[in-house]
Amino acid sequence: MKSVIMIFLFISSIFANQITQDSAFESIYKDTQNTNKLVLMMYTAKTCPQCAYMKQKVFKDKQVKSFMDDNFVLLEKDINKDDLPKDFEYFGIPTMFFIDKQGNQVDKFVGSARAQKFLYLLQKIAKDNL
Amino acid sequence: MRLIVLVFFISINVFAFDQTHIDKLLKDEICEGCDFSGANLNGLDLSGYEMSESNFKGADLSNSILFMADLRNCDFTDAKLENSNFWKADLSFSTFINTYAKSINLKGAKLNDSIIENSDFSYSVSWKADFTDATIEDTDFSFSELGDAKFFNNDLTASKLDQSVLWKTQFSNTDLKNTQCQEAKIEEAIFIDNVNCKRDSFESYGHFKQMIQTKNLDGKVFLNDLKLDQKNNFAVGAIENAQGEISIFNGEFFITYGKTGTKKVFKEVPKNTQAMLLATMHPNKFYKSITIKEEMLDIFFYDYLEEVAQEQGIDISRPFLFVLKGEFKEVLWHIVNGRNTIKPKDGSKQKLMKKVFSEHEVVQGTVFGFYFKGPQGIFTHPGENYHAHFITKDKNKAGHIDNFTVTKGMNLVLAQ
Repeated sequence: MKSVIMIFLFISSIFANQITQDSAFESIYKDTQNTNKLVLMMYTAKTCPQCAYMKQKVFKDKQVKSFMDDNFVLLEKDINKDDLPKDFEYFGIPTMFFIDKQGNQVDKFVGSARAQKFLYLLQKIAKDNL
Repeated sequence: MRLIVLVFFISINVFAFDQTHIDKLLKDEICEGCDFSGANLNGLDLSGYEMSESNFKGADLSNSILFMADLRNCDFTDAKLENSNFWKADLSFSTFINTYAKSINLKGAKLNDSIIENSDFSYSVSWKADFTDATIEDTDFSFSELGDAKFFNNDLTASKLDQSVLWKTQFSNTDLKNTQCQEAKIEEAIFIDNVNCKRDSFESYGHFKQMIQTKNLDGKVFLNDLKLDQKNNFAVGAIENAQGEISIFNGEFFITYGKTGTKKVFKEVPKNTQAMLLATMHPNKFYKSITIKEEMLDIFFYDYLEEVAQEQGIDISRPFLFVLKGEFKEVLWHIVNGRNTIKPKDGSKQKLMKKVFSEHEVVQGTVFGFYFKGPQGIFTHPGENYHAHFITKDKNKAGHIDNFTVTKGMNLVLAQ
């Protein structure tokens, strides 16, 4: 029973994060074209090669780009410059938080992946949450 | 009995760590030249600890954290390092033989002058790792993230880099297999100086089954990089995004596009054309030609081909070239013609690619391709051991062959 409670608390702690008072996030859903999309909030930094790889190579892959354009809005947060939303903790970068229009974190991905693997991840998240 | 006792003692001595060394390490965070062989260090946080010149033979360091640890000149032979975190650790001059390091984190780690042999480093996260002057043999780096890593003065020809991230990976004075070079180029690796791309007799690019499963028709190799326009080069494949077919016979190009139909052949490809699937061979040996003695359908021809190849002493577990010339009957061939976007109305499975077909009752020409009694669906279609193309005798038509009947008197040549 204890372990069940622990698992429940762990899962709750993962998905309980909610973004509040973030003007960049709020402006995304003011655009009606984004109503049926999730926000992909990516923690990044200038000195992070994995972040550069995701932005310059993976996000530009034809299939990834097309799927992201249809289902996600990218919101970048530079960990050294931007105010980071409360409760969205990270250990390493890139960390990608997937957030619904109510501001709830629905999934999270840490690190980088080649285009095909990342596309598969996006498809799964979109299927589960859109 | 004596032997069993002896073996027992030897096996104990092989991995006999010194408990006082472990105690010292955990207390002082430093233990240089220590014996941790066979020790269970699973899941420990040893970040910043100084352990240079230590023996980790057969030790279990899985899931441990060794961030910025000093591990110079250590021996990790037979050690388990799965999921361990060596971020920015100094592993220079260390030895990894038969080391199981799947999903290891080597971000920014120094592996200069290390020896890495017969080890599993697949799925590693090795951004900015430095492998300068490392001796690397028979090691699996497949599915690893090797972006921005440095491979200076290495020979990687006996190791696997399949499906690895090689974005901005720096290669200098490095030996690579040609297939690794091409994958690195597609991944935007940086070839600084003197990178030797060694060509195998047979090479294949792309993966048919994966292409179908992922519906990804992207290019896998720049066609002109392969320098296939020299004699004794043979290739069959398809252009990226299924634009057309690639048939290269003895260095002569026969490029056909779906959009220009089955009656037009191009003798060269535009610069930067990529193949989404390609099998190439420059054979080392041609075998004695054979005259076909009876008419047979293609399905029986391929059985016959396998028999003949074995009779000629060809290793059918490796791909071999076959060239069949003469008069064919009941020929059906096609050229791929882009991605198929039309869903069938009858509910049947949607085909990934469109095709334009052509058929002939009787036609003179050449069927050539590669036969391989190994895993199907890599350069062959799933369910088939061969990939073959057709060129008419007048050289005005070419494409992927689907059906044909071989006639008596045709000439068959095999090569490998």
